[in-house]
Amino acid sequence: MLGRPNPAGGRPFWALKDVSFDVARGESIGILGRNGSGKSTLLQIICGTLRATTGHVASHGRIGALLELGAGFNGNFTGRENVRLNAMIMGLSRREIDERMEEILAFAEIGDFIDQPVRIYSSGMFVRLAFAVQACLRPDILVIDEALAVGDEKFQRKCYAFMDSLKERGTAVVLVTHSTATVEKYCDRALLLHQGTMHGLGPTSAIVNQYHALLFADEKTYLRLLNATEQKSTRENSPSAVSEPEAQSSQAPAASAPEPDPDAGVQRARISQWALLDCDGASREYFRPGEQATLRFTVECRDTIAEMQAGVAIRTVEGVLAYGTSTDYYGQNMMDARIGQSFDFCFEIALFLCAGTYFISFSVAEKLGQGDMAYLDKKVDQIVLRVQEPDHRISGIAYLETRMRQYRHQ
Amino acid sequence: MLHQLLSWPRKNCQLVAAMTAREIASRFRGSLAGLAWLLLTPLLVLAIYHFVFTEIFKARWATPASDDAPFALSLYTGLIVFTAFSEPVSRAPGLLAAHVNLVKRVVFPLEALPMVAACSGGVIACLQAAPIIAGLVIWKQSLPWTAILFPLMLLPVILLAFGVTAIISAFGAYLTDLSHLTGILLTAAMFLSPVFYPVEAVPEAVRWLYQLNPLTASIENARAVLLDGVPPPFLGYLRGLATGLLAVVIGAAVFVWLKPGFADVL
Repeated sequence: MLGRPNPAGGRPFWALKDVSFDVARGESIGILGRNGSGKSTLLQIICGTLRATTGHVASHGRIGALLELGAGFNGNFTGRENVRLNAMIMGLSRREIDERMEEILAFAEIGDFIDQPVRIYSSGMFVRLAFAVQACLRPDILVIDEALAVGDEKFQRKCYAFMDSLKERGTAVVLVTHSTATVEKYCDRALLLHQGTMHGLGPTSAIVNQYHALLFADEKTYLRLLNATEQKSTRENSPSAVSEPEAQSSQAPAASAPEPDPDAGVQRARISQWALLDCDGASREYFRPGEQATLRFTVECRDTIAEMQAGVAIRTVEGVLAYGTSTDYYGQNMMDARIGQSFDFCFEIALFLCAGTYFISFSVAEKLGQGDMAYLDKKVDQIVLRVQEPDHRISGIAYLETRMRQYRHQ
Repeated sequence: MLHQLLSWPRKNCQLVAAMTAREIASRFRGSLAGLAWLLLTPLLVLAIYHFVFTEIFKARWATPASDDAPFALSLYTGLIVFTAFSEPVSRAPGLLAAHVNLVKRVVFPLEALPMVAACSGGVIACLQAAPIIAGLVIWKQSLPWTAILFPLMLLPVILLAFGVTAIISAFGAYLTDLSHLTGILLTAAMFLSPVFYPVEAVPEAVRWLYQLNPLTASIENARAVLLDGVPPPFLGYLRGLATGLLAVVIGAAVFVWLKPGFADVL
């Protein structure tokens, strides 16, 4: 699939270039990218509302699309009438619509407003109804373009649960979103678009990290990451089942970076050694819940760095971030680092985690301003942490001290 | 391509029917007089034209045959048949822009849009025939059996309206000038059709021009079945129908040809 030029005069503008991928039945793919990277254009081409200048799209089955909030809704008509109209547009017969109407209304939870003109609906009601119509009509391909972000979390969860059930029945889902958490939780694969070209296609965790690097890292670091991931994928054929770390989901999380290539450009700081230690200073892998552990790593400086911050992230095997923090949050960044100096960063953490295997990642970055930073080096999933079973059985990620009391009423 | 053309109505007739009903209802939903405007508008226009033509121009209907039908009724009939054509066509240039969501954001059979416009024009014309029925009952105390053929007389007009609307709306997506051109085209069409006068009033020398106009036959036929109680000439009617079908085919072809680019230019 290729792009299309903008006919509004001036130089041709390729909204998409050399984008090519498949989505199988029952698979969901998340499309990430900055604003203007071509995501919406790509979706329109998939749906057939836009024609690609070169290339082709092959889709099999009925397409349900949520491309824009309220598209296809006539404001003066009631919700019920709009449901009928949209279902007819999707190609359903009157009988099929009648059969599905109850289900759609139950899902949308609009209540009595369903018989009111749609122009009085709030945006949340719009998206509930729109999603209900598109999804309950059992499309073979479901395409969603950032429209769900308008709904509240409860609704979003309901939608994603429904999408899971659709997937089990063989529906393919194509999702565009800015929420990387959504992509990691609900998508099987992810695609990263940047300025119209495919920058990555693969397992969600890798692509999400690449996306974060694209957003927050400087260009050199990002290019190094791209090169390294290519080398890594040729070196190791088995895809990593482990997720890449995030320092914090609101701050810039780390990108998937293996050992930095010693020949790759100027590296201004390097993490030279690391260890996870217990309270006696011995290196250990197994810990009991609640035990104190110290993550200690050494950074060698090769350049002047005004303000250096260090971050750590602990992730579960599935890639869920259990905990992340940074020296920046504690106001304990290292100031005025010079060439040739080396520093130790120590994070003393009380491991109140449930039993399981966790991966620890850590990184150093240069702080550039409020909320902005550039990575200097990072180590991903380099330390394995195994937390043993506590005395009482618990489940989940966080080990919260609980005391139970019971009273019997008369 | 032909297969697509023939299978299209079956797949989409429910959609077109539903959208036509919505469109007609939506015109008047929310307004105070509601559907009454449907009748009020042509009646008011008729009153104005009647006044101007008979009192100021001192015109006569000018043929012995239709002398019995009141001037107003003949004029009105011509008017509503012509409106069945002019109303969709006048909306054609901006039709796709008015439904830009359906072009870009929804998987939608866009050919339905000119079809809905033409059908709603036809349905409205049928509704607007009600005052004629009332007028006939008052004037003649009887209704000619041919009055029931009126919708059939409208059919060539609807087909023609679809064809022209499809072409103009397709080009109109690309060229905004078309809206100006269409206005002129319709005004010319109005005066070159026997709306205000019967076709017999036209001098022999230029009558061929009027015969070329497909609307002429339909207007005259409508007058014949409603006011004169005479069924239309069979061959003439077939010819009108054939012209309409030709317009449908050409219009559909042009629309489908230009369709892929709509999302780009709107």
